Amino acid sequence: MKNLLKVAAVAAFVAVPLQAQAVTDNIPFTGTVSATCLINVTGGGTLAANAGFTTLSSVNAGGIAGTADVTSNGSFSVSLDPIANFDVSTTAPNADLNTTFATSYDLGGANTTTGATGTTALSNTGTTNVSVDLTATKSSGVFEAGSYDATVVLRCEP
Amino acid sequence: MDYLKIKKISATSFLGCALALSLLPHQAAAQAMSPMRGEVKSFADAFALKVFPANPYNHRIRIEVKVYDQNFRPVTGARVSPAEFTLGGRFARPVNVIVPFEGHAKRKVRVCTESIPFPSQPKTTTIKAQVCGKFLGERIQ
Repeated sequence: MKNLLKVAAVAAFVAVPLQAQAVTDNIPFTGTVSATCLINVTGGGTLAANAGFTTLSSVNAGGIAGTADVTSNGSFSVSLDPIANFDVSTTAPNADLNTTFATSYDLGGANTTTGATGTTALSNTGTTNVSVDLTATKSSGVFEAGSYDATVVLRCEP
Repeated sequence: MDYLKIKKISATSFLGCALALSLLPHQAAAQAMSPMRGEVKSFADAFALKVFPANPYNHRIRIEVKVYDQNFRPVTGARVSPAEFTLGGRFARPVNVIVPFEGHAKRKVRVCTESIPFPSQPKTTTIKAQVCGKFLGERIQ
């Protein structure tokens, strides 16, 4: 029995590696980020009438510009669609009669510009703060009492 | 007879679109829409795209996916599935778009994700976010 134990101990010793080796290897990580544009609308705007009730605008006293954040990580541009009418939810009478609309925007943050009306390239990546202004103007007549709703499309595209 | 003809074209379209779909990137990320550029080659009379509209907000929003040509005229023959849906906060989902060539060898389209995040706020001006990707379909004869 003693001999058997000795033989087993020797066999076990031989079977064990002479030295414990520290094994290392590299684990690769890869990732792909698509060039994308994200619009985060942070607030709608408010239109206010001027003293003569001939313009409704976010730049008039009491008006508030609409705001959005545009985050881009590639080559993109922003623009506003022209507006032809107030929304159907507008309750004021004759809202669209003799009315023209104008939109403009200011950029801050990663890209800056003031009073832009067309397409602006976002030459810098990151978050750009967009401030959107809307002005409705009566060529004749006045904006009658009631509520006015309008929707401005802010577009981001390559 | 007309019925059989339509059925044959549809089957061809399906195979071509399935091939085109497999060539597109399938990754989805927390963005407004991904991818935003792409070129698709198709053997069929239509080409297919897969885009991933995403909701960057913490609340649910209503999303519409529309297809426009280069002059922002709606492409009436395009099929979008689903075209309108509600998307939960911080979530994205795939949308399939099939655009007919309508006789052209190449067709450039814009696929736009549109949303109105705050329709019920007591504001008189609403900003409608529109993120558009540009895609080129090329028909292989």
